[in-house]
Amino acid sequence: MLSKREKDLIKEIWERLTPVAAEIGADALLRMFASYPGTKTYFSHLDISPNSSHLLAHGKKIVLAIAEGAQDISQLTVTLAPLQTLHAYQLRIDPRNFKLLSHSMLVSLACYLGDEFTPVAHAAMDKYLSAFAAVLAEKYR
Amino acid sequence: MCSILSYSWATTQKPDDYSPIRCFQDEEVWHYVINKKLPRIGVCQKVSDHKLRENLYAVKMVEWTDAERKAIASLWGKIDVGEIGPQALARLLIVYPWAQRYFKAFGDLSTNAAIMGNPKVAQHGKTVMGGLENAVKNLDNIKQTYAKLSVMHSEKLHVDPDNFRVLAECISLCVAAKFGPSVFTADVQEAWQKFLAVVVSALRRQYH
Repeated sequence: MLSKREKDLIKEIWERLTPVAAEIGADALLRMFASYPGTKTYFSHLDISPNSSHLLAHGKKIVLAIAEGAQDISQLTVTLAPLQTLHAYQLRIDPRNFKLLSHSMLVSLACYLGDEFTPVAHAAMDKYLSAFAAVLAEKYR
Repeated sequence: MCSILSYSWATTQKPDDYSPIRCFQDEEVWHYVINKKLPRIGVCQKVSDHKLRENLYAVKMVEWTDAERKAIASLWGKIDVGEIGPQALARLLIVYPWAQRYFKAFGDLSTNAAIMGNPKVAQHGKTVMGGLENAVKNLDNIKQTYAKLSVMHSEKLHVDPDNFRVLAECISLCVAAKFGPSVFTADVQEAWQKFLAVVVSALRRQYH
Protein backbone atom coordinates (compact mmCIF):
# COMPACT_ATOMS: atom_id res chain seq x y z
CA MET A 1 0.00 0.00 0.00
CA LEU A 2 1.24 3.47 -0.77
CA SER A 3 1.02 6.10 1.94
CA LYS A 4 0.13 9.69 1.08
CA ARG A 5 3.72 10.69 1.73
CA GLU A 6 4.95 8.04 -0.71
CA LYS A 7 2.45 9.09 -3.37
CA ASP A 8 3.59 12.71 -3.05
CA LEU A 9 7.23 11.65 -3.27
CA ILE A 10 6.59 9.54 -6.38
CA LYS A 11 4.63 12.34 -8.05
CA GLU A 12 7.35 14.86 -7.28
CA ILE A 13 10.18 12.67 -8.59
CA TRP A 14 8.45 11.86 -11.89
CA GLU A 15 7.46 15.50 -12.41
CA ARG A 16 11.10 16.41 -12.07
CA LEU A 17 12.16 13.71 -14.51
CA THR A 18 9.65 14.60 -17.22
CA PRO A 19 12.06 16.98 -19.03
CA VAL A 20 14.62 14.14 -19.35
CA ALA A 21 12.03 11.47 -20.08
CA ALA A 22 13.71 10.34 -23.31
CA GLU A 23 17.14 9.94 -21.67
CA ILE A 24 15.87 8.06 -18.62
CA GLY A 25 13.58 5.86 -20.70
CA ALA A 26 16.24 5.04 -23.27
CA ASP A 27 18.74 4.29 -20.49
CA ALA A 28 16.32 1.92 -18.77
CA LEU A 29 15.54 0.14 -22.04
CA LEU A 30 19.23 -0.23 -22.92
CA ARG A 31 19.96 -1.68 -19.49
CA MET A 32 17.09 -4.10 -19.85
CA PHE A 33 18.24 -5.22 -23.32
CA ALA A 34 21.81 -5.74 -22.05
CA SER A 35 20.88 -7.70 -18.93
CA TYR A 36 17.88 -9.58 -20.26
CA PRO A 37 18.45 -10.23 -23.96
CA GLY A 38 15.11 -12.02 -24.31
CA THR A 39 13.38 -8.68 -24.02
CA LYS A 40 14.88 -7.59 -27.32
CA THR A 41 12.57 -9.98 -29.13
CA TYR A 42 9.73 -7.48 -28.79
CA PHE A 43 11.66 -4.78 -30.61
CA SER A 44 12.70 -6.37 -33.87
CA HIS A 45 10.80 -3.65 -35.71
CA LEU A 46 12.82 -0.83 -34.15
CA ASP A 47 16.43 0.31 -34.14
CA ILE A 48 17.38 -0.15 -30.48
CA SER A 49 21.04 0.74 -30.72
CA PRO A 50 22.26 3.32 -28.17
CA ASN A 51 21.17 6.88 -29.01
CA SER A 52 18.93 5.81 -31.87
CA SER A 53 15.93 8.03 -32.42
CA HIS A 54 13.65 5.00 -32.06
CA LEU A 55 15.09 4.18 -28.67
CA LEU A 56 14.78 7.73 -27.39
CA ALA A 57 11.24 8.10 -28.69
CA HIS A 58 10.16 4.81 -27.17
CA GLY A 59 11.87 5.49 -23.88
CA LYS A 60 10.16 8.86 -23.73
CA LYS A 61 6.74 7.29 -24.36
CA ILE A 62 7.21 4.84 -21.52
CA VAL A 63 8.50 7.37 -18.98
CA LEU A 64 5.75 9.88 -19.82
CA ALA A 65 3.12 7.18 -19.28
CA ILE A 66 4.67 6.30 -15.91
CA ALA A 67 4.84 10.00 -14.99
CA GLU A 68 1.22 10.51 -16.00
CA GLY A 69 0.12 7.62 -13.80
CA ALA A 70 2.06 9.15 -10.93
CA GLN A 71 -0.03 12.32 -11.10
CA ASP A 72 -2.96 10.53 -9.50
CA ILE A 73 -2.04 7.02 -8.40
CA SER A 74 -5.50 6.28 -7.03
CA GLN A 75 -6.82 6.62 -10.59
CA LEU A 76 -4.29 4.26 -12.15
CA THR A 77 -6.90 1.90 -13.62
CA VAL A 78 -8.67 4.79 -15.35
CA THR A 79 -5.49 6.47 -16.59
CA LEU A 80 -4.04 3.24 -17.95
CA ALA A 81 -7.20 1.87 -19.59
CA PRO A 82 -6.06 2.52 -23.17
CA LEU A 83 -2.58 1.13 -22.46
CA GLN A 84 -4.13 -1.93 -20.82
CA THR A 85 -6.02 -2.68 -24.02
CA LEU A 86 -2.95 -2.03 -26.16
CA HIS A 87 -0.75 -4.40 -24.18
CA ALA A 88 -3.37 -7.12 -23.76
CA TYR A 89 -4.71 -7.36 -27.29
CA GLN A 90 -2.09 -5.88 -29.54
CA LEU A 91 1.39 -5.92 -28.05
CA ARG A 92 0.87 -9.02 -25.88
CA ILE A 93 4.18 -8.61 -24.10
CA ASP A 94 4.55 -11.38 -21.54
CA PRO A 95 3.85 -9.56 -18.26
CA ARG A 96 6.85 -11.25 -16.63
CA ASN A 97 8.89 -8.76 -18.63
CA PHE A 98 7.32 -5.83 -16.77
CA LYS A 99 9.38 -6.80 -13.72
CA LEU A 100 12.54 -6.71 -15.80
CA LEU A 101 11.82 -3.22 -17.08
CA SER A 102 10.83 -2.10 -13.57
CA HIS A 103 14.17 -3.25 -12.20
CA SER A 104 16.04 -1.60 -15.05
CA MET A 105 14.07 1.58 -14.45
CA LEU A 106 15.02 1.50 -10.77
CA VAL A 107 18.69 1.15 -11.74
CA SER A 108 18.40 4.16 -14.06
CA LEU A 109 16.74 6.13 -11.28
CA ALA A 110 19.44 5.07 -8.81
CA CYS A 111 22.17 6.14 -11.24
CA TYR A 112 20.65 9.54 -11.90
CA LEU A 113 19.34 10.34 -8.45
CA GLY A 114 22.35 9.01 -6.52
CA ASP A 115 22.00 9.91 -2.85
CA GLU A 116 18.46 11.07 -3.43
CA PHE A 117 17.50 7.49 -4.19
CA THR A 118 17.01 6.89 -0.50
CA PRO A 119 15.59 3.63 0.86
CA VAL A 120 12.25 5.42 1.27
CA ALA A 121 12.25 6.60 -2.33
CA HIS A 122 13.37 3.12 -3.43
CA ALA A 123 10.54 1.43 -1.55
CA ALA A 124 7.95 3.88 -2.83
CA MET A 125 9.16 3.59 -6.43
CA ASP A 126 9.29 -0.20 -6.29
CA LYS A 127 5.75 -0.33 -4.98
CA TYR A 128 4.50 2.13 -7.59
CA LEU A 129 6.13 0.34 -10.52
CA SER A 130 4.75 -2.99 -9.26
CA ALA A 131 1.27 -1.50 -9.08
CA PHE A 132 1.68 0.05 -12.53
CA ALA A 133 2.72 -3.30 -14.00
CA ALA A 134 -0.13 -5.12 -12.29
CA VAL A 135 -2.72 -2.67 -13.67
CA LEU A 136 -1.15 -2.88 -17.12
CA ALA A 137 -1.58 -6.65 -17.11
CA GLU A 138 -5.18 -6.65 -15.87
CA LYS A 139 -6.85 -7.19 -19.22
CA TYR A 140 -4.55 -10.01 -20.31
CA ARG A 141 -6.91 -12.69 -19.03
CA MET B 1 31.17 -31.74 -30.92
CA CYS B 2 27.89 -30.10 -30.05
CA SER B 3 28.13 -26.44 -30.85
CA ILE B 4 26.07 -25.24 -27.91
CA LEU B 5 28.24 -26.79 -25.24
CA SER B 6 31.83 -26.35 -24.31
CA TYR B 7 33.59 -28.67 -21.95
CA SER B 8 36.16 -28.49 -19.27
CA TRP B 9 37.07 -32.08 -18.66
CA ALA B 10 36.75 -32.99 -15.05
CA THR B 11 37.18 -36.42 -13.52
CA THR B 12 36.13 -39.88 -14.55
CA GLN B 13 34.30 -40.24 -11.26
CA LYS B 14 30.53 -39.88 -11.56
CA PRO B 15 29.40 -36.71 -9.77
CA ASP B 16 26.65 -36.94 -7.13
CA ASP B 17 24.13 -34.81 -8.97
CA TYR B 18 24.21 -36.78 -12.18
CA SER B 19 20.92 -38.14 -13.45
CA PRO B 20 19.95 -38.49 -17.09
CA ILE B 21 16.87 -36.65 -18.24
CA ARG B 22 17.21 -36.99 -21.96
CA CYS B 23 19.90 -37.90 -24.43
CA PHE B 24 20.52 -37.04 -28.00
CA GLN B 25 23.13 -37.90 -30.55
CA ASP B 26 25.27 -35.28 -32.16
CA GLU B 27 27.74 -36.73 -34.64
CA GLU B 28 30.08 -38.95 -32.67
CA VAL B 29 29.07 -37.78 -29.25
CA TRP B 30 26.20 -38.89 -27.04
CA HIS B 31 25.09 -36.38 -24.45
CA TYR B 32 22.97 -36.72 -21.36
CA VAL B 33 21.79 -33.24 -20.60
CA ILE B 34 20.74 -32.50 -17.07
CA ASN B 35 18.01 -29.97 -16.27
CA LYS B 36 16.00 -29.42 -19.39
CA LYS B 37 17.04 -25.78 -19.59
CA LEU B 38 20.28 -24.82 -21.29
CA PRO B 39 22.93 -25.18 -18.61
CA ARG B 40 24.40 -22.01 -17.27
CA ILE B 41 25.82 -23.08 -13.96
CA GLY B 42 28.09 -26.06 -13.48
CA VAL B 43 25.80 -28.66 -15.03
CA CYS B 44 27.15 -32.18 -15.25
CA GLN B 45 27.10 -33.98 -18.52
CA LYS B 46 28.12 -37.52 -19.17
CA VAL B 47 29.83 -37.78 -22.50
CA SER B 48 30.58 -40.95 -24.36
CA ASP B 49 33.15 -40.29 -26.99
CA HIS B 50 32.99 -43.20 -29.35
CA LYS B 51 36.47 -42.58 -30.51
CA LEU B 52 37.91 -42.90 -27.02
CA ARG B 53 35.42 -45.62 -25.99
CA GLU B 54 35.51 -44.36 -22.48
CA ASN B 55 33.05 -42.42 -20.33
CA LEU B 56 34.27 -39.05 -19.28
CA TYR B 57 32.33 -36.70 -17.02
CA ALA B 58 32.52 -33.14 -18.09
CA VAL B 59 31.43 -30.21 -16.01
CA LYS B 60 30.30 -27.20 -17.96
CA MET B 61 31.47 -24.05 -16.28
CA VAL B 62 29.88 -20.65 -16.37
CA GLU B 63 31.54 -18.77 -19.20
CA TRP B 64 32.86 -15.30 -18.61
CA THR B 65 34.01 -13.06 -21.41
CA ASP B 66 37.16 -11.02 -20.86
CA ALA B 67 35.03 -7.89 -20.80
CA GLU B 68 32.85 -9.34 -18.06
CA ARG B 69 35.83 -10.41 -15.94
CA LYS B 70 37.32 -6.95 -16.30
CA ALA B 71 34.06 -5.20 -15.47
CA ILE B 72 33.48 -7.29 -12.35
CA ALA B 73 37.05 -6.87 -11.09
CA SER B 74 37.03 -3.15 -11.77
CA LEU B 75 33.71 -2.58 -10.06
CA TRP B 76 34.69 -4.74 -7.09
CA GLY B 77 37.86 -2.70 -6.71
CA LYS B 78 35.79 0.42 -6.21
CA ILE B 79 33.25 -1.07 -3.79
CA ASP B 80 33.65 -0.45 -0.06
CA VAL B 81 31.99 -3.49 1.51
CA GLY B 82 31.57 -1.63 4.79
CA GLU B 83 29.49 0.96 2.99
CA ILE B 84 27.52 -0.91 0.34
CA GLY B 85 26.86 -4.02 2.44
CA PRO B 86 25.00 -2.28 5.27
CA GLN B 87 23.08 -0.12 2.78
CA ALA B 88 21.96 -3.11 0.75
CA LEU B 89 20.82 -5.13 3.75
CA ALA B 90 19.02 -2.12 5.23
CA ARG B 91 17.23 -1.63 1.93
CA LEU B 92 16.20 -5.27 1.86
CA LEU B 93 14.62 -4.90 5.29
CA ILE B 94 12.94 -1.59 4.44
CA VAL B 95 11.72 -2.27 0.90
CA TYR B 96 10.77 -5.91 1.59
CA PRO B 97 9.80 -5.81 5.26
CA TRP B 98 8.76 -9.46 5.34
CA ALA B 99 12.48 -10.27 5.14
CA GLN B 100 12.72 -9.05 8.74
CA ARG B 101 11.42 -12.43 9.83
CA TYR B 102 14.97 -13.78 9.68
CA PHE B 103 16.44 -11.09 11.87
CA LYS B 104 14.41 -11.24 15.06
CA ALA B 105 17.60 -11.37 17.07
CA PHE B 106 18.84 -8.10 15.61
CA GLY B 107 16.91 -5.84 17.96
CA ASP B 108 15.00 -2.78 16.87
CA LEU B 109 13.81 -2.95 13.25
CA SER B 110 10.57 -1.09 13.87
CA THR B 111 11.27 2.02 11.78
CA ASN B 112 13.42 2.85 8.76
CA ALA B 113 15.65 4.96 10.97
CA ALA B 114 16.01 2.08 13.43
CA ILE B 115 16.99 -0.28 10.60
CA MET B 116 19.47 2.13 9.08
CA GLY B 117 21.06 2.80 12.46
CA ASN B 118 21.04 -0.79 13.66
CA PRO B 119 24.63 -1.95 14.27
CA LYS B 120 23.77 -5.66 13.82
CA VAL B 121 22.25 -4.92 10.43
CA ALA B 122 25.37 -2.99 9.49
CA GLN B 123 27.68 -5.75 10.67
CA HIS B 124 25.75 -8.47 8.89
CA GLY B 125 25.55 -6.40 5.71
CA LYS B 126 29.30 -6.02 5.79
CA THR B 127 29.75 -9.78 6.35
CA VAL B 128 27.49 -10.70 3.43
CA MET B 129 29.10 -8.21 1.08
CA GLY B 130 32.55 -9.28 2.20
CA GLY B 131 31.59 -12.84 1.37
CA LEU B 132 31.35 -11.83 -2.28
CA GLU B 133 35.13 -11.38 -2.25
CA ASN B 134 35.50 -15.15 -2.43
CA ALA B 135 33.29 -15.26 -5.48
CA VAL B 136 35.14 -12.44 -7.23
CA LYS B 137 38.44 -14.25 -6.63
CA ASN B 138 36.95 -17.60 -7.76
CA LEU B 139 34.81 -16.67 -10.74
CA ASP B 140 35.33 -20.08 -12.29
CA ASN B 141 34.27 -22.04 -9.25
CA ILE B 142 31.56 -20.11 -7.50
CA LYS B 143 29.37 -23.19 -7.11
CA GLN B 144 31.96 -24.91 -4.93
CA THR B 145 32.89 -21.74 -3.07
CA TYR B 146 29.35 -21.30 -1.78
CA ALA B 147 28.41 -24.96 -1.21
CA LYS B 148 28.75 -24.85 2.58
CA LEU B 149 26.95 -21.52 2.86
CA SER B 150 24.14 -22.91 0.76
CA VAL B 151 23.69 -25.87 3.09
CA MET B 152 23.75 -23.54 6.08
CA HIS B 153 21.12 -21.16 4.68
CA SER B 154 18.89 -24.06 3.79
CA GLU B 155 19.20 -26.46 6.68
CA LYS B 156 20.12 -24.25 9.59
CA LEU B 157 18.73 -20.80 8.82
CA HIS B 158 15.74 -21.89 6.68
CA VAL B 159 15.94 -18.82 4.47
CA ASP B 160 13.56 -18.65 1.48
CA PRO B 161 16.05 -18.60 -1.41
CA ASP B 162 14.05 -15.93 -3.21
CA ASN B 163 15.55 -13.51 -0.72
CA PHE B 164 18.98 -14.02 -2.26
CA ARG B 165 17.75 -12.69 -5.59
CA VAL B 166 16.05 -9.74 -3.96
CA LEU B 167 19.14 -8.88 -1.88
CA ALA B 168 21.22 -9.08 -5.06
CA GLU B 169 18.87 -6.51 -6.64
CA CYS B 170 19.30 -4.23 -3.62
CA ILE B 171 23.09 -4.55 -3.89
CA SER B 172 22.95 -3.58 -7.57
CA LEU B 173 20.81 -0.56 -6.77
CA CYS B 174 23.16 0.62 -4.03
CA VAL B 175 26.08 0.25 -6.41
CA ALA B 176 24.18 2.15 -9.10
CA ALA B 177 23.32 4.99 -6.72
CA LYS B 178 26.89 5.17 -5.47
CA PHE B 179 28.73 5.15 -8.80
CA GLY B 180 26.27 6.67 -11.27
CA PRO B 181 25.72 6.00 -14.97
CA SER B 182 29.28 6.64 -16.21
CA VAL B 183 30.72 3.81 -14.08
CA PHE B 184 27.67 1.57 -13.79
CA THR B 185 26.97 1.42 -17.51
CA ALA B 186 24.52 -1.04 -19.10
CA ASP B 187 27.39 -3.43 -19.91
CA VAL B 188 28.91 -3.22 -16.44
CA GLN B 189 25.45 -3.78 -15.00
CA GLU B 190 25.02 -6.88 -17.18
CA ALA B 191 28.31 -8.37 -16.01
CA TRP B 192 27.66 -7.51 -12.36
CA GLN B 193 24.11 -8.90 -12.40
CA LYS B 194 25.32 -12.06 -14.14
CA PHE B 195 27.93 -12.42 -11.41
CA LEU B 196 25.36 -11.98 -8.65
CA ALA B 197 23.00 -14.39 -10.43
CA VAL B 198 25.71 -17.06 -10.37
CA VAL B 199 26.26 -16.46 -6.65
CA VAL B 200 22.52 -16.62 -6.00
CA SER B 201 22.29 -19.82 -7.99
CA ALA B 202 25.15 -21.35 -6.00
CA LEU B 203 23.40 -20.42 -2.77
CA ARG B 204 20.18 -22.01 -3.99
CA ARG B 205 21.89 -25.16 -5.09
CA GLN B 206 21.85 -27.14 -1.85
CA TYR B 207 18.16 -26.59 -1.17
CA HIS B 208 16.25 -29.84 -1.38
